[in-house]
Amino acid sequence: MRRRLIHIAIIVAFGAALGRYALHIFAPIAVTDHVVRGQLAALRGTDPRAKNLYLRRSLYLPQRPRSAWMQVLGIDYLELYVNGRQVELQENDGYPVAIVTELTPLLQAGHNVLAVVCRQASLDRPPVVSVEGAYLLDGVEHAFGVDDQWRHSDRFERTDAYWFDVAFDDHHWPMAPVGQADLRAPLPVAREALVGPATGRWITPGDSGTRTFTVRRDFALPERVEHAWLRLQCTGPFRLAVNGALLDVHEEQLGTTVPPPPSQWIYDLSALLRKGPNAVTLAINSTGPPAHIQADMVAQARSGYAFAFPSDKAWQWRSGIAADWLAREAGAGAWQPCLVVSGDVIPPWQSQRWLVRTSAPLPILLRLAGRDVLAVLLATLGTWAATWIVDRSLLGWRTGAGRLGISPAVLTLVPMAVLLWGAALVVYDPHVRPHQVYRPLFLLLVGGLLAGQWIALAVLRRRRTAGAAPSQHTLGPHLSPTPKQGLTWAVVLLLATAGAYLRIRDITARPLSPDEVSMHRATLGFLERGFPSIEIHPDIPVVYAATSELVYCGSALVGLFVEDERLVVRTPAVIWGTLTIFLMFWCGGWLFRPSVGWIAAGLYAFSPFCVGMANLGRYYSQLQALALLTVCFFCRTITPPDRLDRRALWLTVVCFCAMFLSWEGSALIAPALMMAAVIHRRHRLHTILREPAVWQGLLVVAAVVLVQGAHRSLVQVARPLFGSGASDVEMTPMWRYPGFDLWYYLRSATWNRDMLLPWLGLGGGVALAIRHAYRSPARALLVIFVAASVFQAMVLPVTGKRYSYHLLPMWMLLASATVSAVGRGLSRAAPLAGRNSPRTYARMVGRSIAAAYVVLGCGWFVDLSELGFWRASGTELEALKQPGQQPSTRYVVEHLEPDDVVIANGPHVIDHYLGRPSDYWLQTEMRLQATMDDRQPIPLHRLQGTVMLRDLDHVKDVFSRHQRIWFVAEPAFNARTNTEATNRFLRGNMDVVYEDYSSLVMFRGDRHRPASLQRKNEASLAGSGTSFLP
Amino acid sequence: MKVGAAGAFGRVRLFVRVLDAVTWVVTRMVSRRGLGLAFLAAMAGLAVSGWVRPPIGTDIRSVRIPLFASAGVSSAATDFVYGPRRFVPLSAGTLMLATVGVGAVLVIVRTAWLRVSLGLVLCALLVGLAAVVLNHPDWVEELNRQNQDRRALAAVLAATAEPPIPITSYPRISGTPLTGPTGELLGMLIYLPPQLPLAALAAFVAVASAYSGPLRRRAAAVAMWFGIGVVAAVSVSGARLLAEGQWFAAVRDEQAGRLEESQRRVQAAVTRFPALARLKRTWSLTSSIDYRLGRRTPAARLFLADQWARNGDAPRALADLEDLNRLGQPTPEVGRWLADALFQRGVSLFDERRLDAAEGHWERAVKADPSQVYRRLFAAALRAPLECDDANRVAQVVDPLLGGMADRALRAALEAMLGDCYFQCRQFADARVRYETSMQDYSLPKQINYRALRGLLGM
Repeated sequence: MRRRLIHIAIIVAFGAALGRYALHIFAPIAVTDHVVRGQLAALRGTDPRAKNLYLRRSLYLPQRPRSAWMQVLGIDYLELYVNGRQVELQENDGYPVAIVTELTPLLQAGHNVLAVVCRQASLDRPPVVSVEGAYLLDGVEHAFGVDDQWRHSDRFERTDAYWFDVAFDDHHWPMAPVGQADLRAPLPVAREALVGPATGRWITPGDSGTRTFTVRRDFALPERVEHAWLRLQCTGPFRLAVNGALLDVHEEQLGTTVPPPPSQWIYDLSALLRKGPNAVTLAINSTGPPAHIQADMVAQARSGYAFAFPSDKAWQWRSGIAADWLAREAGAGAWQPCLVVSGDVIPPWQSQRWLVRTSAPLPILLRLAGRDVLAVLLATLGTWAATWIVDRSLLGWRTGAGRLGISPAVLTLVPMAVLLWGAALVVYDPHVRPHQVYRPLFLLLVGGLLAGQWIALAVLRRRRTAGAAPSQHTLGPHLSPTPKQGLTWAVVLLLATAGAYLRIRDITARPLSPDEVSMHRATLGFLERGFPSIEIHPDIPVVYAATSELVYCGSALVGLFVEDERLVVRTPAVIWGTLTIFLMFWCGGWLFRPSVGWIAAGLYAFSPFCVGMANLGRYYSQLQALALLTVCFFCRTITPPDRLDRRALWLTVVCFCAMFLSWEGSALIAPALMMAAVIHRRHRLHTILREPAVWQGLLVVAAVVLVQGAHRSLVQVARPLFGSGASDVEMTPMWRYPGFDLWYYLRSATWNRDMLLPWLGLGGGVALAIRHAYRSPARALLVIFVAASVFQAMVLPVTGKRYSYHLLPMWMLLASATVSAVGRGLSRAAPLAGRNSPRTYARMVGRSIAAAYVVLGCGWFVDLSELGFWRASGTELEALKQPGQQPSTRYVVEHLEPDDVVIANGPHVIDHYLGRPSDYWLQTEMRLQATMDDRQPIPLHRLQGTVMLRDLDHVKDVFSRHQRIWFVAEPAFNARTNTEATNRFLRGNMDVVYEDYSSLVMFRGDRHRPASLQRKNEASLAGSGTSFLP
Repeated sequence: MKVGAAGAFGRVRLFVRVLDAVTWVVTRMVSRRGLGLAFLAAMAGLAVSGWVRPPIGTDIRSVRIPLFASAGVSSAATDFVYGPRRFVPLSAGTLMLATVGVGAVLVIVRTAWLRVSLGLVLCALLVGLAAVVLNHPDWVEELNRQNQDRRALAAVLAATAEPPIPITSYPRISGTPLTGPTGELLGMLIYLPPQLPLAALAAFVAVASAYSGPLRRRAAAVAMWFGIGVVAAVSVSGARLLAEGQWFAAVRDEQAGRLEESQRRVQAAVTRFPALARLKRTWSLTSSIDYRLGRRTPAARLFLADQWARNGDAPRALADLEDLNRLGQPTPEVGRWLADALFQRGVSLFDERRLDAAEGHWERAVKADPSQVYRRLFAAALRAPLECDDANRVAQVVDPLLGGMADRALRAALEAMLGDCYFQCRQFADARVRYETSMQDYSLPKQINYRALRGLLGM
């Protein structure tokens, strides 16, 4: 029975993969692979360090064009403005992005301005922009693109107008240099559908009195469609149907005298059209004048031939909306050719184009689903028949008594199924396009590999060898000493070396984050005063670290040997991260089997999330390693069948205390540990409760918690703090608050850019916990992971992916155990009595599954960030992430004069780079906690003692008293800590003089802007739709 | 010395005895029977807890949710959503409690019957969930309405305060924002509190755990009880499902232009499940059909009023709706739709900064449908920043509603608004109390109640 189930599962998995793959090759439902790409001429900035590229050019038109379009390609972030109005914004950090848009309604006769901004968010990829476009004047197309007309700047600029305005004088901007760039970005629909002039004629019913009528266009397609689209414009309320299925309804104006706004609706018909007869039908019900229609419809065949069906006399109309208007075939009634109207009913520059994202109608979805099911069914049946024949004719395997194990022919399907499903997943990598994966050659390759395996097994069958009994693996607490141990450690060392390299590679690539700056200061305090501490202000007592005290030991140790501040705070994290690779291997082997440790170490070493976190100089990596050790020792403590393992118990206590001193919130894992102990030993609870070492250990932990709590309270009362902040975090019943999300830490915990493969692993972990040889450790890990995640969500008043980072190894171990169990199950189910080769082969298959899971699931080799629902954010490796405060401050230092005033959003960061204290901290919204000294009732920065500009009057007072003022801003953060009125004042009175990634320097010098100019600027900013110093 | 040693020895013995007692108790608690009873107790707790979470008001307990749809008066939904709520003998909660009671007796009598009792609880839970989700479409419409009101109120409070109140951007309902009251088939799902799916999951796990043997056997047992539960749930909510089938066919007929047929199907759906007659979508479809058939009925006028409203001609739409409301045609529910239209018009006017007109429309909306109690807050929120003489006037409107408000963020925002109002009126003691209450209601380390905090620091 069990064997049969395994057979069915493997054959279905392979059949489904094969059927799906074949469908994608021979009968794709729709082409989603719309890309604009190529080795293109591109505009760059002159300064390779600049993170922002502002481009603009003028376009003089003697008259309004009948058609104009533009295509802009760049990397990370693109914005397009036309005549001072933001047209489109595209953002996808780390990947090329494209804007393809129609400009016809935006251009005017005379002087026009096109402006583009590209912002760098990736490491080492300066902004680059490729432009292409054209406009139609008097039937002649005039192209423009990357030429010598584009001027550029690297900062947001303003004179009497903003840089994107028509009135802005850009003569001081240099011409943008031209280079080459390989850019490829996806589009939601074929480019021709988005841009280009309308070729269809305006049509209307022949009878001018007809208000309610049906229009249809019947056409036949001689071959299968690759992709198809329809662009439709109608002056009355309408319903649109394609091949008998209702696609869209625009009847907002039905029954009223209000005309519909001039719009061109773009539909993707790829999934709806088919080979043979097709019909597009419109039901129009107008209460105003007779409706007019203009349509362009193109179907691109697989041969490359494009069939066009623009609106013309071939479109027919019939009075009224009969009950059969949706029918695929034209029903009875007098269908007449539509009347073609000369000229424009609506001038082309009046109508806007909109891409309509509709899901396919239910009948079509059902038809497609039926087709998929049929293909999968056929592939499955074919596979079953093939394996049956091969088993009997080639491999001599038959079911029946005395024949143990699964069929070798079925077994050979496993690596092929993994390959096909892997291919299905790989297309969700943005670097891979579907047409690169779905190729007949690959299908042949899979077939060839399958046949090759069958032949190889048949050959092996003939070379019978005396069957050596397969080695007996035992589940246990130790790494079994095998002759291959040296190789094992070599591989682990290799993994650790690779992991360490990835973690070291970009250790100095990003500037320090605000938290890292504080950590560096506390580390220096540690070296100076013997305890991590910061001197904030001469009139405020030294502030000692009251959280994560143990973390500073590592950075202080590194600080003794190196000078570079980034290395000082980040090196311990890299070391802990690398050490955790070994720990994963060791814990996996200790709790389950060595193979689990291998897989877990592989996943951890290459996980982009873990690599990224190891480059953050905070407590995350250290905490994670200690949490893993705590859980591992705890599992060992409760595993013995009789008494608790005392040595493991005391190691648990030590690790728990170290974990607690790395981050106090980690103590929330304690209830989960207790729950795991009760579940594991529920029939032997007396062995826990009557064990003196348990109580002694609890006393030690309680003492550490109490001492830390007392220290924290003492530090907090040493100075007054105003407002709420992270230091107020305490256990809170979060289920009483809106926005409570019980599953937050379960949903957000992942080690790569998708959650599909981690969740599959967790699901397998649940199955293992119910019934499997691994169930004991799997159950303990599962209970600890799930209970700790849920408990943390219930009582921790802050949420963030980083707060559950220390629980991630438990999930990785569970997923690894699942993969190991599958592979092991296959190898155990494979024996043919007296023959060793199938078992060896099955073991290889099992290992290939493990390797495939690591390669696909670790997130390094394949980036499955296009998985939609399963996509996880925050794990980007190549992103800049930290605002460029360091270069911004360097600019200020280079231009600072003695009496200048410096204002900052984050003075503790700016002062670090400035080399002297900044003068003011701008916070007109009470977001961050402030403190006070003993002398004056002025709020000061909590970590730096900088005077807070508390409201707009205070800001105005500073501006009235000082001539030269610098403001080092972090725009996104500034928006959260300041009122709109303050930002308006700053925008009006300061200019941007330097800009970096998410950071800018504003300056108020000798030129003060008159109020009239400020008002004008504000109006144009609001009209553009952009966001500047929000 | 001897006495001291004996005393210490005695204390150790006492400690050991206490440990033994604790061990005995905990062992009994985690025994098969103990765990079973604990699970049943948890299910009893679930049975008396809230099963529907309105966006602003307090949770609706399961013992107040009828098992079957009521064909009664139209105010039934507002009674349940806004109160006063009454105990319903044949409710989802009473069904659960009865099943849990029977299950507990079975477990106490014989531990082996645990699997039966847990299976029955799983069935009762499925039946209760089906009743809550499927049998009260008019509640969904009412809850959607409250959801819209909540979002509009948060926007008004944000726009009338400096600094704005970001905490109101954390709603109690995390589902997809709804754009209109439609009473869709599974619309209730987003109003279920998080413990319900958790309880359902726990019930499945409990049934699987109650059976011993291989995974296959446990899965078969779970499937069996699930099947029984589904059959029972369908029998409770079958009328709605059949009516929705008719409705789906009616919509398809209307799309295809078979208007008479569509109308017949709508009638059939309403006959099968009368609660559908109280839904706006029913009348939207009916009125659309009437209009397309060229009938000059009140329903066709309702269609036109909706169309005018969609095209921004609010005065014309309101005039039509007021006429229909006077006539009570095509349904008495038209008064609520008039109130909705007035309210939406008020929001539009507020966005245009025509505050007096907005206030007038909101007051008319409250008169047209007094059951929408939270709409009284809109005018109060407008008046609060302008009130300089007597803050109690604003407080008299707001205070009676605060008690029934479970949305802590909104409550905190309203308390802070009253604090500002008292501050303006120089009633500082009252202002402090309001600010402190606001802070108690909502202030988290990274979701700070700026407005109340600034008020307190300003003191």
